[in-house]
Amino acid sequence: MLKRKWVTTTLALILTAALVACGNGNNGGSPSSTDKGNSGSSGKKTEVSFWYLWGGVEGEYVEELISEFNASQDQYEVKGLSVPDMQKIIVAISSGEGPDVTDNFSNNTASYVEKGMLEPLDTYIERDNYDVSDFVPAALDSGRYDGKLYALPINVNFNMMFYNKSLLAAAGYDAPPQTEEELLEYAIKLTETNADGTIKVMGFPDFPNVYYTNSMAFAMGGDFISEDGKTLTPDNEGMKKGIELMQAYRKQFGADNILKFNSSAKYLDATDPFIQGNQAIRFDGPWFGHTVKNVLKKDIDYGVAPYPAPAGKPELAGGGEVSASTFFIPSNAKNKDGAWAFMSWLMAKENMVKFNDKFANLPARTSAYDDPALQDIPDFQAFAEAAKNPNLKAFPTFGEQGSYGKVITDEFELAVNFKKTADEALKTMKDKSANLLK
Amino acid sequence: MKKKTWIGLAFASPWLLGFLAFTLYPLLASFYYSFTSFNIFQSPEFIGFANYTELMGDDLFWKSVKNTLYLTAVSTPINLFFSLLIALLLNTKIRGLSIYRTVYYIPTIVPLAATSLLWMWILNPQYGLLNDMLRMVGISGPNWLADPGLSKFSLVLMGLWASGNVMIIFLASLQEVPQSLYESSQIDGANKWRQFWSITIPTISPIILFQLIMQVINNLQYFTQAYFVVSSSALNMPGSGGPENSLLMYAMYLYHNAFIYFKMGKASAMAWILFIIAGIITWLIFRSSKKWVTYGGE
Repeated sequence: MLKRKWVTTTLALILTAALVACGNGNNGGSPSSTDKGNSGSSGKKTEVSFWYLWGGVEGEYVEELISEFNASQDQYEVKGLSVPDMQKIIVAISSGEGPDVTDNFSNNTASYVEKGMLEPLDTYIERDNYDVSDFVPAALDSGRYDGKLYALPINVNFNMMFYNKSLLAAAGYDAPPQTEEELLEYAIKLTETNADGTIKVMGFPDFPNVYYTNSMAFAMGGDFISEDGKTLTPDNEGMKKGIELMQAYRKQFGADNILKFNSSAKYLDATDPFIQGNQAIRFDGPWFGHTVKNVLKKDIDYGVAPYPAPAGKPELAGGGEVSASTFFIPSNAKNKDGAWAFMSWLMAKENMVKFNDKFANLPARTSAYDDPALQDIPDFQAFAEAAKNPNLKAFPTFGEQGSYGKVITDEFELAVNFKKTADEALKTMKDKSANLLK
Repeated sequence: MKKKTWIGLAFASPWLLGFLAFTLYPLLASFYYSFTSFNIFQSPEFIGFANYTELMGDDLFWKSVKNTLYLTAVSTPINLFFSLLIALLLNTKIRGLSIYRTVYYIPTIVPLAATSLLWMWILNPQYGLLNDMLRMVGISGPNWLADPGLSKFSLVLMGLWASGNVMIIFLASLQEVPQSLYESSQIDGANKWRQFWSITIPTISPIILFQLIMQVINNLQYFTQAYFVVSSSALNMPGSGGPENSLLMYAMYLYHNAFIYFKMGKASAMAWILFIIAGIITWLIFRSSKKWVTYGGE
C-alpha cells in the first residue's frame, strides 16, 4: 500500500513541477535590461532585439540602418532579425520570448492594445521631449488608443490609380477616368478577351481584389463607422457602389473568366498583369512605381491619378483608405529603453527620410516631403500631393476590427461572384458586424 | 518488487516527464481554457460554456466543419483506393521494380510547402501545366484552386501525388500475404479477381482498417496545404479562407482564432470539439470493422 502511495505522491510532485515550469514561461521578461555579451566586441552595450517583417532586399535595407544606429552611439547594440511572419512574432511575444521592438501595421494596433501587448510611448516621448507634431494626423492617430500613443508610424500608405498610358492611348483615351461612370466605360473598352472568353487584357482594377474593396468604398464617399463612432456602417453607399461597379464589369466578361485571370496572376512578380502590360487600370500603393522601375527594372509607360469620383460628386475625388506601417515596443520587452532609443532614432526626420528613400515610401512626417533625397522616388510628388486630400480616411480602429474586415471581405466576395445581390451582401455585413463594437 | 518499480519508473522517467509536461499538461490546460476568455496576454477569465455556444452560432465554424468533412469523405476513399492500386502494381514482378517503387515514393519526401507551391503552378488556370494539356485536346480547363466548388477537390489531387506513405504500408502488407493461399486457390480454379477479393483483401483488412483510421484523423486535422494555397495566392487579408472560404479547414479556422484573433478560449473549445468528433468517427469505424476486418486465427 505504502508503495503505491509513494508513486502517487512522486507523480503528483512531478506534475506540479511541470505545471510550475510551464506557468513561468508565460510571465514574460522582467523589465531589467540584460547584457548578453554580444559577440564580445563591446562589453558595455546592451542588446536590443529588433524583429522586422521585411525580407530579401528590403531586409538588407533595414540591416544597413541598424548598423548605422549601432555605430552612432555606444549604449545599445541592435540585433536585427528578419521574421516575415506576423503570427510568429506575436506568438513569440506572447510567450515572453519576443523582440524588444518590432514593426506591424496600424490596423492591428487597437487589437494589440486591448490585450495589453503594447507599451505606451507617452512617457518616453515626454521624457525625451520628442517631437511628433509633424506626423500625418490620420497616421499618428492610428497608433493611439484611449488617449495614449502605442505605436509610431514610419510611413503612410494609401492607394492611387495607376493606368497604362499606351493601352489607354490605343483605346483612344488621353486621360485617366475621372468619375465612376468613366471608370466602367474605359475598363470595358480597354478589356481584351481571348477566343475562349478568358481575359487577355483586364481593364478594371479587379486585381489585386484586396486593394479594391475598402478603398473603393471610401473613394465612393462611404465610411465604415458613423460620425459619432458608435455604429458600424459597412452597408454604406460607397460600399454599395463599389460592389455594383465591379458586378457591372464582371457581368460583361463573366465572373469565372475574371477569377481565372486573377488567380493566374501573382502580385509584383513576373506574372503580374500590370507589369506584363495586361492590365490597363490598377489600384496600388506608393511602393508600386519603385518596385516596377527600380527593382524589377521594367519599362512601362504609366500614369498615376487619384481615384475617380462618385457620380455627380466631383468634390469627393481623390478619396481612399489610409493606413501605416508602425513600430511598437511589446509590454514584456526586456530592453525597453534600448528599444525606444532605436525607435526614436529611426523615427527622427533624417533617418525616416533615409528609411523611406530606401523603401520608396511616403514618410509619416509631412515635414520630410520637401527633402531632396525623396524627390527621385517614382511617383513621389503625386503621392505627396494626394496625401493632403481630406477625402482620405482610415478604417475604424477597435479590438474586433480584424473580424469586421473579414465580414466585409467575405460578403463583398460573394456579391461580386454573383452568389448574392449587393443589397443582400450589405445586409449580412450589417447583421454580422452588429455586435463587434463593444 | 518495490525496487523494480522504481527502476522501471527511473528508466521511463524521461518519457514520463516529457509526457506530463508537454502532452498531459497542455491537454488539460486547453480543456480549462476552453471554458475561459483568454487572449494569451491577459489571464484567462472563466466564462462557462460561452465559447461553445458562440461556436454553435458561428457561420465560419460550420463552414469549416463542412469543408473538413467534405475533404475527409472524398479524400480518404480516393487516397486509399489509389494507394492500394499503386501498391498492387508495385507488388508485381516486373523489370526495374525498385526504380518504380522509388519514383512513386519520392513525392512523399518533398516538404508539404514545396508540394503546395509546385501544385499551385501546375493548377494555375491560365499558365498551368494541367490546363495547358487540357487546352491541347480542346478543353478549356477549370479554375482549379480559385473556384469555390472545385478548390477542395484540387487539394485531394495534390494529396494523391504524395500518398507514398500509405502506399508503402500497403505494399509491405501485400508481401505478407502467404503465397500458399494463392497457390492452393489456383489449384481450385480461382481467377485473379476472385483471389484478390477472397484472399488479398481479407488478409490485409487489418491494415486497411489502420490506414482508414489514420487517414480520417489526418484529414480531420488537414491544415498545411490549404494554408499554403490560401496564403500564397495573390494578396490576402489575414484570416482568409480562400475563395468564398471554401478552403477554410477546421484546423485553419482554429489557428485563425488562436493566432489572428487571439481567442485562445474559442480555439481550445474548437480543439475539444474536434477531439470528440474524431473520437466518435473512430469509434464508428471500429464498430463497423467487426463486419469486414479479418484477423488471423479467427
